[in-house]
Amino acid sequence: MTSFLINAFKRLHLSIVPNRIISSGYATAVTTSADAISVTQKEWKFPPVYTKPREVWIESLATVEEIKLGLFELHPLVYAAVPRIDIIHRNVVWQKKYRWVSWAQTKTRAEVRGGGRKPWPQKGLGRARHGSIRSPLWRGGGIAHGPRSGKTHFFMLPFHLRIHGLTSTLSAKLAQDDLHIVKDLEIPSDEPEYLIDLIENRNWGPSVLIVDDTDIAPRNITVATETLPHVNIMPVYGLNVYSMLKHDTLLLTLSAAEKIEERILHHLHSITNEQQAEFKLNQI
Amino acid sequence: MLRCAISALRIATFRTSSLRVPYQNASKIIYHDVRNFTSLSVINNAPPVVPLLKENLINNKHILDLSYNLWPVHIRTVTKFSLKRGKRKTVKAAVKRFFRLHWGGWIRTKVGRHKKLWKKSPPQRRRLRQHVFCNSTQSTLLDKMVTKYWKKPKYYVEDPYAPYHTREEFYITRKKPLPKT
Amino acid sequence: MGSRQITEKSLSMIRSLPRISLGNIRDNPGSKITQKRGRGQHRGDKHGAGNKGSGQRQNYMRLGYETGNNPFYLRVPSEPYYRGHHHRRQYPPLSLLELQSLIDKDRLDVTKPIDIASIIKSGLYNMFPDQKQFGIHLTDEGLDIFAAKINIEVQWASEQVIAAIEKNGGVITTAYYDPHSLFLLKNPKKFFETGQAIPRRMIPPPDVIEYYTNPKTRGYLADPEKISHERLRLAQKYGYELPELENDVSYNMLIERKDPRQIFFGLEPGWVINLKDKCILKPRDEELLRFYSS
Repeated sequence: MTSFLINAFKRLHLSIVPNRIISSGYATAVTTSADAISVTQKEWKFPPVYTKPREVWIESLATVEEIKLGLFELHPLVYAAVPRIDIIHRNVVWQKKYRWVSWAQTKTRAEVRGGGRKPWPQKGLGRARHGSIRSPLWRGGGIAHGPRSGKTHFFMLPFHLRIHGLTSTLSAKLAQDDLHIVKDLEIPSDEPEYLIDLIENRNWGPSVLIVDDTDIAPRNITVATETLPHVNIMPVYGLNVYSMLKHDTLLLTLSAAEKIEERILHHLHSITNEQQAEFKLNQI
Repeated sequence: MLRCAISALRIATFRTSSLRVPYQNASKIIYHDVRNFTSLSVINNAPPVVPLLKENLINNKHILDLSYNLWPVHIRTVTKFSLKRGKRKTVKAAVKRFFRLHWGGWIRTKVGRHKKLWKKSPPQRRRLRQHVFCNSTQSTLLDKMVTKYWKKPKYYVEDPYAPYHTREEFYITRKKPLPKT
Repeated sequence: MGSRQITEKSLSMIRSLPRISLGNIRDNPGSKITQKRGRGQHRGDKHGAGNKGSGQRQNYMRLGYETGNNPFYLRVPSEPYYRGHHHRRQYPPLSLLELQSLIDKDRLDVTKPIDIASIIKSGLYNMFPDQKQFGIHLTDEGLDIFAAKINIEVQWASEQVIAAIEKNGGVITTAYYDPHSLFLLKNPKKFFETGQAIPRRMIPPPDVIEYYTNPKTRGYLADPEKISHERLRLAQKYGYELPELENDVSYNMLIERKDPRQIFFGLEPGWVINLKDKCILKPRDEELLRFYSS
């Protein structure tokens, strides 16, 4: 019975997606010739001192099944830093707040309609003294210390907390196997189903953030991700903590991973007095 | 463009001509008044020589009273909000008498160091020549009297006060770490 | 950052934990102080002013007033401690210890001549030309442990400091910069972006011209012959052997000096630095050349 089912599945597989056989065959061909895997020795500008570089597989999007094209080294200062959850949290809070302008608005006693007349004489009635029917004490009166609209919540997180937020998140993603490195973003078809299949097959979770070095991604992948709201492409300079956490898996191209590493290492090894200085609005 | 300029000129001439008559009068009045005012201050309590108008400012009894009682006032209090910028100002009397060291102490001279020196003994005169520290209450007071300019360290070369600006000799007040032995 | 063990341990720990996402992160407990609630705008109390009296009514006596006594701050005879303070030149100090640590931390390149621009760029020294500060005063702290061969240009140095640098085979010059030149040296990029021609350095004011023409203080206007004579004299005074400059490997670096009219190393007055096109525009007009060479 089971064998029959399996056979049926196999047949189904074959009949529905014919190109998958080709791709799977290709994958086996590569994995069998194991010595063809490229292992690149990196020339470090800032060589890792106390910890070994992290090794990751270079993958490819050319097939639905996972294939390994080679090994790649990542700098431990960027991709194996202490995963400080609190710093990640502060980054997320900062990203939410710095562009938040609160438009909540309540009316004060001056803005509520009416209430100009003294409701009853000050003395002689045995009632409490009141000057306006819109006083905050009254039902239907103004709000005493309510929100006033157009309140900005802008602030700048200190420079090194921003850097540490990025390294923490990248390290956490790598440690949890949620960071994958691909050679390039070439995919054989522009169908969204192909990407969905691929993500399902490799167990990447539904949402994937793709980060590339360039502003212009290949045509196939842009067309395929256009209708998928949970698969997004981003250039390196747009990489941020919030988006990385929002997506389950982070997919970096080889050049993007190197660029991120280079930029962060540059800031970790340079004099950052200027960046650490107090933020002024006219510095933009 | 030319026409514009001409019309503008015309307006300008018109305005000056319309203003001329009262303005001349006004200048005359002011001119007389100033002269009268000087004579007033010389001859005390004399009635104004040329009473031009009843409502003149010069004849205002209230203002006259004020001007008679004018006396050079020494301002020693700290200005918390200046008229121009709304900032604090330094009490100049304080920086004329005291000197602030980098570590926050203030030094001063002794009271009465020039007075009746003939009857003071040589040891007392020697002590009077010395500069002494203010106590902490006085230092706090003086810190409140001056602006941050005076509290900034001043790095002069060949400064005679250089040894007193730091307190590295005493183990509690030292700032720099001890050299490794 | 934490040690290696902490990093590795925490990374291996979060491998077995659920995926970090927007829903399961939080700040450290107790890192934020929650405000206590009070009624009213200022927590409904007396706003820290106490109960009754001058605290609440804000009618303090004026500072230093002693209810009719001759106040303390007026009792003391006046003394001209601060006479001429707004005219005196200040030289913020940099000790030899700090200089050595800058070199050890690789914030200063000793293979090139060091001047105030490179020291400010190192990030651990700052000065403000608009506050009557005229450059570096190299002080003698850490004199005994100073061990670097450098070609340094400072604005003020004592004899011991000169001896300490020359003992190690280095060269020191004291040079004057007017405040405008110091502004350029403090932030050269800001000046180059304005697109102006580099000005000439001004000559020192009369009261320090003696210091800067004196070979004993290694003034930049002194005769080089006399300076070499003074170098030898200082070596004999402090009892060290003067390393020979001529046989040195970095002889060219050590004898490099600025022209008295020059502000930046390698750049002459009158040049315009174009940062956008990365080129230098030099004047060709006869009159300009005459002006900038004088």
